[in-house]
Amino acid sequence: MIFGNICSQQETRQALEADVSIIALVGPAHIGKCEFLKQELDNSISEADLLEVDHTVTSSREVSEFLLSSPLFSSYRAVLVSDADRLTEPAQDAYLKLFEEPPKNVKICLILNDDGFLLPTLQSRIQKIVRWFPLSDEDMNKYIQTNSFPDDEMIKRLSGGRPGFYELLVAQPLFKDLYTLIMQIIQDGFDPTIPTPIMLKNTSSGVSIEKDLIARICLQVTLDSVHQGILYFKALPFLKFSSIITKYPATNVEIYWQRACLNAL
Amino acid sequence: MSALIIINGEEEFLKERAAFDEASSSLIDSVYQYIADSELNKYRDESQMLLLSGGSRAFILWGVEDIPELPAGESDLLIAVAQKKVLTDARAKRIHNFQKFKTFDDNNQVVKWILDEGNALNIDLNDVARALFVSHGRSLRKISSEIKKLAVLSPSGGIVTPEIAKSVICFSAELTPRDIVDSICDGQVTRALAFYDKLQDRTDETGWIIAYLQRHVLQQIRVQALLARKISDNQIASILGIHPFMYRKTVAPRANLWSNESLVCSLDVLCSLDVAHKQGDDCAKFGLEAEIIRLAEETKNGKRHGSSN
Repeated sequence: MIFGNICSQQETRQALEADVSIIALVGPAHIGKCEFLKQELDNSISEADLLEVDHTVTSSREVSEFLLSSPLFSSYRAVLVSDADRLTEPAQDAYLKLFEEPPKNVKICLILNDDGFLLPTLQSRIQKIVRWFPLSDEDMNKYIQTNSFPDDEMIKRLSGGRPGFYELLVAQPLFKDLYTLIMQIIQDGFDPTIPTPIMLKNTSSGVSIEKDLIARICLQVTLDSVHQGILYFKALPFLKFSSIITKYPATNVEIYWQRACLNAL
Repeated sequence: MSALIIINGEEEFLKERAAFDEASSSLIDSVYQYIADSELNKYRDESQMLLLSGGSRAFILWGVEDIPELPAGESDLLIAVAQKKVLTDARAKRIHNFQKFKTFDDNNQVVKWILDEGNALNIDLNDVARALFVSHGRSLRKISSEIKKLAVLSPSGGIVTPEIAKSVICFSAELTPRDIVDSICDGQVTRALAFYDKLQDRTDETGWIIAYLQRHVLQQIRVQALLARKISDNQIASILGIHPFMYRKTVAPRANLWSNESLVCSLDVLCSLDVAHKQGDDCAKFGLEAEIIRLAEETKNGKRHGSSN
């Protein structure tokens, strides 16, 4: 069940029912866009007529081949491209031809955090953009109660209206300690002899919800430090850290964490 | 009365070789070896026993801090190889001292040693000495092994040419960024850049080199912070997650080669270069070269002035 964004859900459903070939769902990660779209497509079409791909250029070739054939069991074939804002330029070029002349009975659905990363030529060919937003407090409370999660104000604040983050914070409370640790470093200074927190050491290379959550926590620290009157520039290194680990997922989190801590001195 | 030979110094290979040379040149019937830390009592028991046959024995004691009892046999020999402390004893027949070789550009004792080794084997290594040093650094053991190969293949009294050397020696067989880091820590700018160029020749290894340097710089920052707290080497090794032996041999000697400010600045630069490299910016390579030069020069200047930061 998807919580919140009732209007966005309705808009997406309408777009899927209408004669629209290229749809983009744009909004912050981990709020339920991909899950909702999968649910709707599972209810509308057969599994054989649905293809889920990632952002690589080989996937774009896979999509072209998939769409060459007519739908097997359903009224249309659908392609779901997740993390479409990570599409490289060659991959976007490969999609451009497809977007210019989409085959009949086809729906290409892009999931993006930010449509600003798409080439303007690709952006202009998207026929319907549906914006999604972080959940309101009321929707988050409904989500928490329905899933029987513990109601924690600190976790609610850190998750920033994203159910995916709430679930992860409940499952791994160490991430909550990361917020406290960063605030402590900003206020009291950094001790280089203390080992890197375990949740940072254990983040794998590549895109992951853990990295997104760490970035979110760093952002919350920056906002809170301003509210608390702590010098803003002390929190900036952590903001830079969060930007790097999400934009360049192959970077070593531990090294950049240490750098942020040393620069916060 | 039995004889005593003391071997001091920091060049492990030379100390080892001297110990075995002393044992073999003394017309000894049998050689026994002991590690002073753990086998001192065994040495004491065995050295005080006299052989019924009356033969002579050599006892090599490794890692000695204090000279123990001399062996009981009249023609026995004790070869005490010192750990860190410099040993002296009035009874010593000979005291060898193998200080750490300096490897400055204008005073490279390793290269001089290579030439001397060549002379001892009656081959002229003038044309290949520098290349041997660049390839193997301070590893005298490896260099000695290569020189022996060259001595077998070269005519007696002949000059060893680079072509002969290339045919038998694996120059930089398994080159890694560790060689660059070692050169930086030795203050060897030319060697560090030579290794950098060789690595980059194979394929674009910028990311790998940056990652290696980042880890090294970070480790040095942590070591400096730990040393400032005056805790033991074993504890530091435990915190760093490495064996105490490895810490003492490879990490501790490099502590304080750079100032803390320099290391923090270096980490910043390396992280920026890493991001630039991931963005496909070719300038990352130039920045990396500049940083390698800066770190190596700082080490070299520090060693020349004998100062620690």
